[in-house]
Order: sequence, then C-alpha cells, then structure tokens
Amino acid sequence: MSMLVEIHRDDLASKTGMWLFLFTEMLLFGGLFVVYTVYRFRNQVAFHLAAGELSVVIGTLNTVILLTSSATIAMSVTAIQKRNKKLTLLLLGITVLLGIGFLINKYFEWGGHIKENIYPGSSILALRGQGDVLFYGLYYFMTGLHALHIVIGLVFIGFIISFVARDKVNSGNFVLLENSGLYWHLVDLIWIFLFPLFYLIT
Amino acid sequence: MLTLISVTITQISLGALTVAVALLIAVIKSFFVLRIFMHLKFETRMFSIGVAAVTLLICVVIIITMLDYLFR
Repeated sequence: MSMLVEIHRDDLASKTGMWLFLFTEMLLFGGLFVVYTVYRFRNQVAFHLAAGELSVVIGTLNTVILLTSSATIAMSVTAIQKRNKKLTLLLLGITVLLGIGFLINKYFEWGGHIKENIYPGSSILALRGQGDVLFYGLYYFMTGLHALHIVIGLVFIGFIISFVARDKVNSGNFVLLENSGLYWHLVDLIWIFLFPLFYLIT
Repeated sequence: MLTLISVTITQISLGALTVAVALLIAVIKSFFVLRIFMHLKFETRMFSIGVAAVTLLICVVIIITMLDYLFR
C-alpha cells in the first residue's frame, strides 16, 4: 500500500523558481554595476589610483578559491547522480571549507584597509577626496554584499550536507542540492565581475 | 580546470591590461560557469533565454546611463 502513496514533486518547477530568484540577484548586482560605471567615469584618476592599492594577490587567490569551490559543488551533483553518497559529502565539505577560506582572506583584506583608516565614514579617507570615498564606499558595499551571499550560501550548503547525510537528499531526489549549487555558482559569477572591476583596473 | 587556466591568463596579461580585456575574460569565464557548472547546456532553453534577457537588460541600462553622462 505504501508504494502507492507518492508525494508529488516537480523538479523543473523548483529549478525554475531558483532561476527566477537568481535573475533578481543578477539585477540587484546589475544596479550596483551601473552605479560603479558612472562613478568610475566621473572619477577616473581616483578610481585608477585607489584600485592600485588593493591586493591583487588576495583577489586572485579568492578568485581561484571560488572557482574551485564552484567546480567541487558541480562535481558533488554528478557524484550524487552516481549514487556515491560519501563522495558527495566529501565534495560538499570541500566546498564549505573553500568558502570559509574565502571569508578568512576577506577578513584579512578588510582588516588591513581598516588599519590604514580606510573605511566608510573615515575622516582620513575623506581627506583624500570624493573619488576615493566613492571607490572605497562601492568596494566595501559590493564586496560586503557579495560576502553576505557567501555566508548565506554556506548556510544553505550546510543544510544540504545534513540532508544528504540523512538521505533526505538522495540519488532520486537531489533538486535541492542542484539549487544550492546554482546559488553558489551565481555567487561565483558575481565575483568573476567584481574581481576585474576592483582589483585589475590599473 | 578550464577556469583555472582563465585565471592564469588574467594574471599574465595584468601588466598593460585594459579594462576591456579584463571584462572580456570575465565574460568568457562566466559563459563557461553558466554552460557547464550551471548545466544550462543540458537544461530547458527557457533558463538560457532568461539569463540572456537579464544580461541584455543590464547592458542596455548601462549604455543608456552612459549616453546620458557622455552627452550632457
């Protein structure tokens, strides 16, 4: 009898919902990119000089970290399709560790700037002029919003790990894992654009 | 692994790098992330069309805004 009772599931609808949400996320950051474009156009010299102060090494390191973590979560989806629960958990674990590594880097990076009195509202930063204030304001806001997305993504993946461990997410029902992957890839995508815009415009 | 290669390219061309090159590499990178990692290659075309539409919208808004600032 129990075989007959099957909960209705619509994986395509779940994914469509996730994609719609990702579109709104793209537009959220898109709006910030518009602001960035205008401010950069109006303060070209200041943006050029201020961007040179950011550590390209940390930026590149974080790019590699995020891209690798994107790869591991994509691989975890393949692993669960192949019914390999251990590998799925391992890959998700690596993804979380890489995400935390990204945040640790960010912590040291921000910490370094704040030590040099470069932070929004700093009177020392204000002395350097409007362009620098705008650059660092955008820098903190955009990378900060992005870091917030990383934190949310990590919590999301954390739930998925516990679901996989308890077989709530399994080889027959892994749309949640796929959706967490989609979210994580979006966070990665945004970083792909933040990185050249803030670190590489020399 | 493709992605790691593209990061290396970014690093090498860093010297006399123009914004255009950096952004072009970013676009190529995102293309691969979207197609392969996010499985757009295998999903219904609806998602790809959505991504294209949103990207186009952002580009159009940036272009219109810049037209305003360039020709005021």
